[in-house]
Amino acid sequence: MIDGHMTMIKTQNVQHEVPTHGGSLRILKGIDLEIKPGETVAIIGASGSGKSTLLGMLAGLDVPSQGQVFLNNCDITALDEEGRSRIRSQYVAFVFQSFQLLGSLNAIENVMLPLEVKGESSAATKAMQYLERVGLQERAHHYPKQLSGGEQQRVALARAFACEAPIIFADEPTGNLDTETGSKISDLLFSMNAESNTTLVLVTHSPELAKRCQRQLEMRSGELSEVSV
Amino acid sequence: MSMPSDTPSEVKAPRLRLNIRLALRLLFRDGRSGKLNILWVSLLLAIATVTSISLFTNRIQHSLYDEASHLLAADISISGTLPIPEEWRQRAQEQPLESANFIAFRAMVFSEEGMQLSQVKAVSDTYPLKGELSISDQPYIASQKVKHGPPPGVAWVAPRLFDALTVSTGGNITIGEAEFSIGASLNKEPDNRSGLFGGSPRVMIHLDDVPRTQAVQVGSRIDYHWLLAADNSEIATFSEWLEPQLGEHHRLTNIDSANRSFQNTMARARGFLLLAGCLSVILSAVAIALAARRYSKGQQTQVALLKTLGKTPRDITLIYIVQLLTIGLITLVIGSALGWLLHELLLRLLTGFMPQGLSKASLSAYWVGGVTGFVSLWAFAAPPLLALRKTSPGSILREQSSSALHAGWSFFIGFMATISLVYFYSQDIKLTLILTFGALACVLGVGLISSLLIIVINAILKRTQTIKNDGSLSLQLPPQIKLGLTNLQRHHKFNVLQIMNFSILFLLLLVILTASTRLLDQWRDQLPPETANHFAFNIYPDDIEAVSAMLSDADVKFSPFYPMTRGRVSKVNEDTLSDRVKQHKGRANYRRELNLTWSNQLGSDNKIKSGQWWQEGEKTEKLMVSAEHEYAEGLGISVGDTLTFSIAGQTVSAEVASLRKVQWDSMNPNFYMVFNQAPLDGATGNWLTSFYLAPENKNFLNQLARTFPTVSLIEIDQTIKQIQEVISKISRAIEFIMVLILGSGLLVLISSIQSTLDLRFQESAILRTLGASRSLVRDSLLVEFCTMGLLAGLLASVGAELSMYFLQTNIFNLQYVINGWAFVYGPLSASLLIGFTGWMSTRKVIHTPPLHVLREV
Ligand SMILES: Nc1ncnc2c1ncn2[C@@H]1O[C@H](COP(=O)(O)OP(=O)(O)OP(=O)(O)O)[C@@H](O)[C@H]1O
Ligand SMILES: [Mg+2]
Repeated sequence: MIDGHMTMIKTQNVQHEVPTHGGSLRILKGIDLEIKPGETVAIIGASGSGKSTLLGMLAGLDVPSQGQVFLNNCDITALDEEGRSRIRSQYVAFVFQSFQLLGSLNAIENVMLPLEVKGESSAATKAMQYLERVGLQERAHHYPKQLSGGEQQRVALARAFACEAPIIFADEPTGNLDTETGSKISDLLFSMNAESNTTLVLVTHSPELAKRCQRQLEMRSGELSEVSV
Repeated sequence: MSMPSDTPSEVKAPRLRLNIRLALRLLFRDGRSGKLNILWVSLLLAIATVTSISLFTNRIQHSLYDEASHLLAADISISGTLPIPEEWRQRAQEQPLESANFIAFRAMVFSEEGMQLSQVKAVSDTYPLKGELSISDQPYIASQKVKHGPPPGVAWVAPRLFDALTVSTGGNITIGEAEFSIGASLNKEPDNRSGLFGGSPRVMIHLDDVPRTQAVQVGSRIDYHWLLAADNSEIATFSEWLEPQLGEHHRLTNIDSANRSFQNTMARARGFLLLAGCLSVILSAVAIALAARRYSKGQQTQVALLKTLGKTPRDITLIYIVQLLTIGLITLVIGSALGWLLHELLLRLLTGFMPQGLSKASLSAYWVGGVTGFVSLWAFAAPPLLALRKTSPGSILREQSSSALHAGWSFFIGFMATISLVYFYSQDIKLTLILTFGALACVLGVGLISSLLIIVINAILKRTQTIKNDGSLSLQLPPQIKLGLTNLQRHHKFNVLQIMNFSILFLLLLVILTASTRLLDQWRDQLPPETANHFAFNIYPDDIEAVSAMLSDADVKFSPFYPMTRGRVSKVNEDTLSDRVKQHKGRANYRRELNLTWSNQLGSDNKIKSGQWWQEGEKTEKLMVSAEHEYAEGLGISVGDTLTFSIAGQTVSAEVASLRKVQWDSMNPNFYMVFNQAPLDGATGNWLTSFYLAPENKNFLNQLARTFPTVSLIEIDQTIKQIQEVISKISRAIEFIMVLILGSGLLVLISSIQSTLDLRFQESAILRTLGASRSLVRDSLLVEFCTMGLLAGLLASVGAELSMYFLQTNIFNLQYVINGWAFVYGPLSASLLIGFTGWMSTRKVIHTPPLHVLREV
């Protein structure tokens, strides 16, 4: 059981550098952060400031060059890829900024994927339910190519929901949506949070969406600071 | 919300099943989306072509072997001047082996009108064990084939005898004391090839009639023949048992030694079929490697995604193993079935050219295709796919340099796999080494040279710029050419790989094309239509002029006259022959009498391997000899050694001046030993010549035999016809196979061109959104592709000529003649082909809105 006093996500002095042509580029410059279970957190900041990079680190998709990341008190930076995979499968759902739907799968199959990975028997029914939630039941059998950017984004969201994970990381989940659909989608994200106490960490440029979160963190060229609401 | 507990033992079993199910599901979806198409197609193609070719060649080879066994009328034959010992017969019966007997002797045959010395062959009921006799009611009409000899009381006689004895079918002849009725004209015997019966025409009777003739008496010369047939292993066991006890009076002949020229032909036919098969194996491997690389590239996002969804590297490995196994099994089944159908189709297409009732393929032939496909799949497709386990899930966020297997390793694995496959297929080390090291040299050489060429292009581009900066001599390239060349140089690394790809594929295609044209032509040319098909020997020196006059009068083409005598080698330096035979384990029968000649002129089909041919007029006192090199090697003879011969009871010694390579299948008179002068003082020898007679002129033999009764005639027209038939059958078969391989090679080439297009589509589409005109985009693509084709074609032509050189000289024993045009049409056709394919495919970019293209890429 998740202890209310425990932290869900914690980082210690996370730094990240990537080698470039002339020397190296510091993207994250010492991030310390704690997020409690069930919290909703928005990360805002200018383009190129390192938001996506941080989100990826938090989700264990990549390892920082320095510092530690804890998911449910487990130091994922100390694990090998095998171990991180296991942690991811237990805790993480991710919505990518660039969707990353598989082109050879249609919408419902993309949503089924996490359920199948878990070996869920009623994958198709469940996937359909998630698609309905994002309002795409009509397009279930269309391929990503045939969907608009916003529709693809919604499929990506449905796929994240289908992970049924305790943490959802969403990189600009409403970036390509009109205001109305955007707020519907964010409603969905927050209802997930309310229903199953899902922790929600999202990157957004939308002040409205950011405001709906309990906390806002601002990224400024690799440094993170709390924005007082 | 409850956290999932992680108890490994509980999780393990379902996890395996889970992964398998997931693997199959993903595979199915990839298959449906068409991503797998190229891999499917190349695997199927590989398995199907290799299966069909191996089935086809295997069956033809078996049939060739059968055909060869027909030349002997058996699998082995034991012949001698004494009856076959009873002990041998018993042993053969126990084994058991099929057997037949015949004896051959000369006897005078009489009719009411005349008489003729004939060669009588008295055969048992079971003769011939292999092959057929051709007989007809009348001489010189179409024959009918039978698998038995004449019944007792009946004689079948050679067509010439009808004239010589003025008899016809139904008439009577007498041999010794026995009378026979003429049953048929005997037109062809399977084992009628040797010079055993000199100029005398054949009469065939039943073995049981021999006592009746009383022609066989103590002291008369008789050849006893014992024919045996069984499957290979039985024959081998028996030969092994028998060989040590043969002694001086008996000789064992097997199919390989039965007829040297036929054996050469068969070896070459086998070589061609093998080459064709090997090329298709290599081509398939290349096709699969290309397809697999492309496929595994497309799998990266999926793997990264699966990892973010919690799949561990081990899961990923398992998933891909399951997928590979599935792909392998499905293609194995379908591909083999297709291959079988294809080979049936080939045979159908060739009916009429193929021997009737083709033998069955051996079981292994069914495997070759499957094994090729499966091994290629694991050697080429598995490494990149299994390396996907290392894909970082973060790579989904930002393209990362792929974690794929180190290029060197995958190259090494692929190379070893190809070598093993070719060896597995050919069982021939030499061919394997030539092909694989040829390919290796090409890969490396081509890589190096194509880098260089691109650097040169780079320099050209720079030059145009600097000159422009000078403002003086501005060498302006048209924009599309410049853009094209710039592209070529910009994708430098990628293009070097691409050119390597193209040139290797092209090289294979060129080798196939040249092999099927040049090699086959040369092969056919060795026995041109009017090859000498009769030998006349025992010509007295005094008769030479008359014989040649008669030949010329009848418009018969004949070879120069050679003196000939027979003799044995008795000593090599100070060693006796037996010592030498023991030391060198030569397999041929060195104790037999050899045909010897002397001449100043080296035969046109002879080639000096070592030492020197004596110059004309270099009449030294010393007796010199030139030996056939294989015979010499078998006895460890080298230039400078002294050979002692026993000729007509006398002993002479000669120094070995040279070793000669002899083209036995040219059908010209050829000799193991050629002296520089008559070896015995005063010996003029008997002379021989060879000549060509068309089937309708066969009667000329009678005139010749009547005019010069002492001259012996050997008819080898049947053998030559048989060899020519084999050559034409095989070359036709090979042409078909080559077309098949060529077709699939072209497909691979085209698909590999298209695989390079994705990148260019994207770029072109972006160029278009930036306002480039259609023609600029199209022309620059054309320039880029044509240049690549030109470079690839040039490299491929050089490689192909090199390979042909080694193939022709080392494998096929044919002469290599360089073909300068190859360096023109190779690059040109490559450039056209690649340019055209590229252009066809780019029409998509040019005629659809850029946005669609971008979405599809
Ligand atoms: N592997 C890498 N190699 C080179 N540069 C990188 C790499 N990873 C990140 N960067 C750089 O780090 C910076 C931060 O990237 P990131 O994607 O985190 O920005 P972001 O805050 O998400 O921006 P946006 O709001 O536009 O999505 C960018 O300038 C990016 O180019
Ligand atoms: Mg971002």
